[in-house]
Amino acid sequence: MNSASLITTPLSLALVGVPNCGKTALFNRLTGSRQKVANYAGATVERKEGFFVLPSGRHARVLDLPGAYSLNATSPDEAVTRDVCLGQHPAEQQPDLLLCVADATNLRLHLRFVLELKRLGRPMVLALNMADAAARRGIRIDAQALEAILGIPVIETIAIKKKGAANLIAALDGHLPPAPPKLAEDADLHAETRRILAATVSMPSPTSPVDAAIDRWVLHPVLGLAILAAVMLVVFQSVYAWAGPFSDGIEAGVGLLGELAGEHLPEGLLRSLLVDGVIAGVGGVLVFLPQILILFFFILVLEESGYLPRAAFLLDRFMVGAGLSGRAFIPMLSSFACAIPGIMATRSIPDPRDRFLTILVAPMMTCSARLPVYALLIGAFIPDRAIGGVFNLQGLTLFALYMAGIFGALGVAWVARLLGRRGAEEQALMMEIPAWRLPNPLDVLLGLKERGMIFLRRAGTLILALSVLLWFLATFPTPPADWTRPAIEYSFAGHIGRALAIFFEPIGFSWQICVALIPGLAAREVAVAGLASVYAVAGSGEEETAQLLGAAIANEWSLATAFALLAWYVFAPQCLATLSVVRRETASWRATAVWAALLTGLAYGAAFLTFHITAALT
Amino acid sequence: MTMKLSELTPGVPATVLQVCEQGSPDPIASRLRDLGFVAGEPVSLVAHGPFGAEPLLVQIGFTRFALRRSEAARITIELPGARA
Amino acid sequence: MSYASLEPVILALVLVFSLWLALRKAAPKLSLLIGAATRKAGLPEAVASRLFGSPAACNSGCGSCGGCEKPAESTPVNFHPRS
Repeated sequence: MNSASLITTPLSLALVGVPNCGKTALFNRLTGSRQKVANYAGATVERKEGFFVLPSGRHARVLDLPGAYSLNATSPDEAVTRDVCLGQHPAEQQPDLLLCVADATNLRLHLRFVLELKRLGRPMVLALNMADAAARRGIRIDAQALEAILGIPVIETIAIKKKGAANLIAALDGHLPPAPPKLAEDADLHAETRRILAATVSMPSPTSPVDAAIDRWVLHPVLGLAILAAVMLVVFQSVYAWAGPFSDGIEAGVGLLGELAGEHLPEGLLRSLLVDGVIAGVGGVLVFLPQILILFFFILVLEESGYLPRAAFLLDRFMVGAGLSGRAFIPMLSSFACAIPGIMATRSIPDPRDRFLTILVAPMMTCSARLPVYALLIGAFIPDRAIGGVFNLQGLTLFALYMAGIFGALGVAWVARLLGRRGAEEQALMMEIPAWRLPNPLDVLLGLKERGMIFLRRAGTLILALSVLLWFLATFPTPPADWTRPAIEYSFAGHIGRALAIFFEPIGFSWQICVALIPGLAAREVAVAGLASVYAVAGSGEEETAQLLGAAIANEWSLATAFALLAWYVFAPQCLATLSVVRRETASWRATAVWAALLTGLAYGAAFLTFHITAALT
Repeated sequence: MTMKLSELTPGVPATVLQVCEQGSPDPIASRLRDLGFVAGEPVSLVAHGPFGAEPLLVQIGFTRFALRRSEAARITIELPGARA
Repeated sequence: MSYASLEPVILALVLVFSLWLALRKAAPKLSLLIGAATRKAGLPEAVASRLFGSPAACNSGCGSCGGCEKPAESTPVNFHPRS
């Protein structure tokens, strides 16, 4: 290749490594914020691609492959990594260079995978990551000797430091290293790894003493569980305690925008569309951006620090006891972000019954789309009061709602086990408990930006479109001149709402709620936009400015109705995307119908009980 | 003295002898080997979970894994001194 | 043209645009199906792909539009590449 074509053709790299090797941190360091996050075609495995420019001016494209322990894949994530490395992925090109990442403090495990990759006979570079942590623990690695034995360039990196990837970038510039000498097919990778380690690495102790000390507390049978409960409480408290000023700011901005539009546009349908449909609808959902960001901030910090697998360790037996396979933990955990990747992740559960059970209960985990609905209702109905000096009643309520989902899921799994046969099948766990790590603020920020963009993109597309459509339904047909009741009752939405209200009246839902539930089928948080539009359209006759939604529902609904709607939202299998994923994953309409009927029944039952008990008590 | 990893007392150092297949193919056994449970590797039990002493926290090489008892029972180990 | 006579036109345009956006975002499969039908009815490929999405870019393997190369079954687990 001559130097001109070196500059014009972008270099394609793939980051490969064992989970927890700091691959994603290195990816962030290389690409900064020039990243594109999507899914691999046909799978809900996250596909992360980034771009950067080498000092020579050549462009580079980096793919951050999912972490894998071996090319012998046991999960959809690992299968993607295997296929891309082998050049067998239908939608990905085989990368020019495999950028292997290995944790310098955990070389025994990571080097074996590097050797397995070496068998592929592709050009490779090995990034020895966390070189600083290794040095602190007194681990000495002879990188030059390692390079000579492996036959591939070895570069020390510190992914969590700003300039920590500078050596690597310099090494990538210029000609590709030649493919390393191929290992014999039948070579014992473990024996080879040991031989290399003995020749190049001296390691004083197998684990860091700090880690061992922390784990003595965090994994303690009693203290560990207490710490877990405390951590979760703090998370939900903070969602309320910190979001307030930001939410108020956004709310004021949305209100101001509505007023401005109201003043400057001539009276008429177009103004109503903009103020009652778009601004009230989209604005009503946007207000909850701070809550979502704070929740994900904690999830990211817990994930980066290495706490999540420890929580899984503590709760594992508990889940098995409830009748869920231990493999269900990861699908259930993913479902807190969204049930769809959670349900896709059940592919790693081999037993079909176990798998269906996990699919059944995964949507009960409170997905982030439910947060706006919870936050709206809690803000409107639960007083902002301190309990015992430390806790806030609103935060406690949110915590209780999350718990209701978790215990509802465990209860359903337990009942299903009682009714069905007891599983005698093997349940694999084999989960790495990684070293503790101080989360890097930059990586947390990038993760938050990603989450925020997903939310904003939805608000700008799906939620916008559905708000506008709902406005049309709530405005047309316009009533005749002699109509004395509110105009919205004459509209399509009014008719649909009242037809549905026959079903939902026993659980205390007004027809306005029924209307909002319809766009909520497309995405749960749109129900908030729906309510905002319905109340804005209905209210625009009497008042000049759109009434704030929280105040509106606090006036109109009883406490029992609000609680019933919360109970409904804990269990209802609302979004259609989840339904279609269940259909695809179970490959059976019957199973999908059973799934939907069970969850709807549960939601209806829970809302019915909540409504009548609350009504009797208040 | 040889025993199963699931029978090891926490804190006692031992060495892996082999991973036994249960049925063939046994994906769990081959994954355990990929994770480093191969003959000669030093292994010890660090802790166990709060309910029913399950799962086990196992230190193998420089890595810690949470294993179920059923998985750990596939791994036969040897206590030091047995060879002396 | 007066504002009053323009209003229904704008409303109609917004309605059509929102319907289209909702279709693409909330029911991508249905959108692909409609796209397949319009292709058969003679709509140029480029226009149909722009409006209703391209089956090649989706490749979800759902089998409903027939445009996929990917088989519909889920990823095989425990498959070993070298065996």
